[in-house]
Amino acid sequence: MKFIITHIIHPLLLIIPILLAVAFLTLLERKILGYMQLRKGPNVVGPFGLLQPIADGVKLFIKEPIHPVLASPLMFNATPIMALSIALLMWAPIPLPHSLTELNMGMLFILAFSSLSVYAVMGAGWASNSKYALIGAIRAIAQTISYEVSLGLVLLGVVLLVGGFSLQTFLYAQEKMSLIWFTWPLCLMWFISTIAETNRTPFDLVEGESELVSGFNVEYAAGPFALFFLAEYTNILLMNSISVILFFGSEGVLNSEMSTWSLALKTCALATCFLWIRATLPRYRYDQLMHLTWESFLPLALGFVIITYMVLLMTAGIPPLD
Amino acid sequence: MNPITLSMFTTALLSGTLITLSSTNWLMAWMGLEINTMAIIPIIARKHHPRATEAATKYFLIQAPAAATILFCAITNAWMTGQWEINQMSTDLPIILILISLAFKMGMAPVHSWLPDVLQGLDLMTGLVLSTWQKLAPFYLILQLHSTHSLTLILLGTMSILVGGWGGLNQTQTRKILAYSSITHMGWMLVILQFSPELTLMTFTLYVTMTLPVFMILHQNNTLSINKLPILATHTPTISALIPLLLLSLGGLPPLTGFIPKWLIIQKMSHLGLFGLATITALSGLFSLYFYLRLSYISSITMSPSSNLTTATWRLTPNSIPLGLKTTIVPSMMLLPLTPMINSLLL
Amino acid sequence: MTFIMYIALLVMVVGLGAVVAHPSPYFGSLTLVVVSGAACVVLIVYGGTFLALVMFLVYLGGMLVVFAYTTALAADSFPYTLTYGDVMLYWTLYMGLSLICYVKCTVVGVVEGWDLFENWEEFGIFESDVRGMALMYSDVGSLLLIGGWMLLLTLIAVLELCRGNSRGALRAV
Repeated sequence: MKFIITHIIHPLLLIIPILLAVAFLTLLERKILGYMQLRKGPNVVGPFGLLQPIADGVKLFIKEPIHPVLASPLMFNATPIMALSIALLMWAPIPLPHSLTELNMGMLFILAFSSLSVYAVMGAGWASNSKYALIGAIRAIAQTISYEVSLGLVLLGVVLLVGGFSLQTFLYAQEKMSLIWFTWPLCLMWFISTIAETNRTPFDLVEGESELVSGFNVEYAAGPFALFFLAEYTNILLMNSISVILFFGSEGVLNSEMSTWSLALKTCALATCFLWIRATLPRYRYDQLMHLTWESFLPLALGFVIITYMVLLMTAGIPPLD
Repeated sequence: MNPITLSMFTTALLSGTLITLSSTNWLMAWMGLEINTMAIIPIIARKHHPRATEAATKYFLIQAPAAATILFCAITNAWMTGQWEINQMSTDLPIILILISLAFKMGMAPVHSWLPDVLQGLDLMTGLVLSTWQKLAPFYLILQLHSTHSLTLILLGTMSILVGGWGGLNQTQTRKILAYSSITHMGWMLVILQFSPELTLMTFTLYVTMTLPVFMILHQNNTLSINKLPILATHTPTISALIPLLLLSLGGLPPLTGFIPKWLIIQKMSHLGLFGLATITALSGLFSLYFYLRLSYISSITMSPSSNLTTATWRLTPNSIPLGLKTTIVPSMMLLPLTPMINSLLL
Repeated sequence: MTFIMYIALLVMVVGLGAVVAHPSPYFGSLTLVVVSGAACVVLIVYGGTFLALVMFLVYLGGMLVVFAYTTALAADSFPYTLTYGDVMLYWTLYMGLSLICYVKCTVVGVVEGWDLFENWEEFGIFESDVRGMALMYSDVGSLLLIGGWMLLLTLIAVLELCRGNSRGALRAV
């Protein structure tokens, strides 16, 4: 019985709300994009179009999944599953404020698995045996490799301040004040890198709607496509909640009833920023994308690691001012 | 190549070997070997030529698994015994594997076949570095491992002597011949290693001394294959006359320097009663003597088939022998009378 | 935990056999990712959490680049996988060899001295990899310096080999 509770019920209690949130995030996106472009967005299915995501889901899953003849069958079908399961797996160590599993190296775990998630994109692009998909996959590889470097280095600066890779530590360290007030450049770099890591506009060269048709998932339809779609939006929510935990996590009272609410609200705000950015900015050129990370973010983040370390060394002897 | 980059790689080439030589820890020794490899690869590929690139690729592909095996064995040894000291390895499995991978790095039989191919793609001065300095670090590690697994050492040694002689027999490329001669000499060193490491060290020193002028002469005249050897007489007649002596010294003929190591090694073996081993090594040394003899025959006794219409070039440039060549030719031929001194210094 | 360890070790051996048996580079690099994941699990079971995660991160990135290069360079429309006869034969051969080694090492017990140093960490407060890291930055800092120099040298060597449009050595062929 205990096994069933810990291994099936608990994960499901985490997974189902996430998937629901993802469904409504897609609705939010379409609504916001609609109103920003002076139209209404979905408003027919249900009140204010609230049932639209469910109708979309039903439509996607009852269609016939198309399978290209020359695609590698195993990888073509395994990668969507891999994408969604990795995206959901990364939620395990997130403290909301209590996590499914408390990992000592939670932040490192998330970083490692978010880099694993690009394997799903790459496998999908390569296995579907199509030029557009392959180009999308190779773009995904280059982009993820580059932005992971800046993500890791930004993270290193914050980790030095906080003193540990565990996500709980971040919450405790920000009890008095959010980290954003004194690491705002790091926070900006982190936020932009998360946009790039989740392949959103203005960094959506992987999909490149106007150039590559749909990038790595051209050949996908119906169920497998829905899995990719879910994985992408799960990742957006995940990255935003990590940003909140890393930089905006000041509750004053850590274990109060309000902390979950505050986390969710801040995550929503950041996700809305993602949508706003999508509605506002045009797509980057590819070389600009690479220049941004290698020539701006990398040196800046390295400098901040050194500065943070220096400040820590300088103030090491000062007693706590509390 | 940019001179700054070149000097950086040269420094790294020196420091890598020195790090290996000065370390007692396997991890540091491995690091030194890797620095060494990484430094020589751009130097190998310095000439923008397909063969040089091929040689660099082959060299890297060989050295990388060898170094990985060394690291693997060092870690296995540390896991089994709890320490990383080079001269305190005590279990058979890592020792044998490390011996073989070091032999792989130096290009000894039966894992030798990359060496002639790689050397064929280089210019002769890089080849000289490859067949002398690059062997120093793995050689030193083997020296520190001595008296550990005698069967592997003897097998590697005798097979190297045999294969080095055998492989060089039908070669027409001087670089390949020199590669096989290097294999043979490494074999002599390894055969005597467990009985008298001092003799091994002496053999190595004398091998470097003897092979240096040969490489330099061939480099100076750009003699890459056997049929260009007779032309030496029109360029540098003195050296053309000395070349047989140098080559026979490499082969180990009595009144020359090369006889010292062979003499002392066979004497040592006979003292220890290893008559079979002594006979095998001495007889298989004859193989390599054959191709040295062929080289000397072609270089000094035969005439170039194409007749020379102009004045011989040695008349036009009288001092064409560089100083380094002069100073290395002498010890590589005439050290035999100093055998007692070498003996008392080293043994 | 022992069960997870056995699974990870099995995946490592089977996967390494597949890495060696695959003639096409795509599957080689992909299988290597699986193997490295299993190796990280082994490391975690031994207590090196940080080491395992960092190695996983680095390895994933590295293999990603390898895969991208193979797709860019090797135009192999129908790469051989494990299901082809030859590859399967080789893989079975390697598995048989490793099985023989396993039987020889455990059942027959030919290799002596395999009582490994693994239980000497029991009374430590910190994890073993954290302790090793502290040691690396304090007592044996020179080792770290030489290691860093080695990496820098490797970088420069690679740049020297691959730079330029026509002068890069690797493009001379």
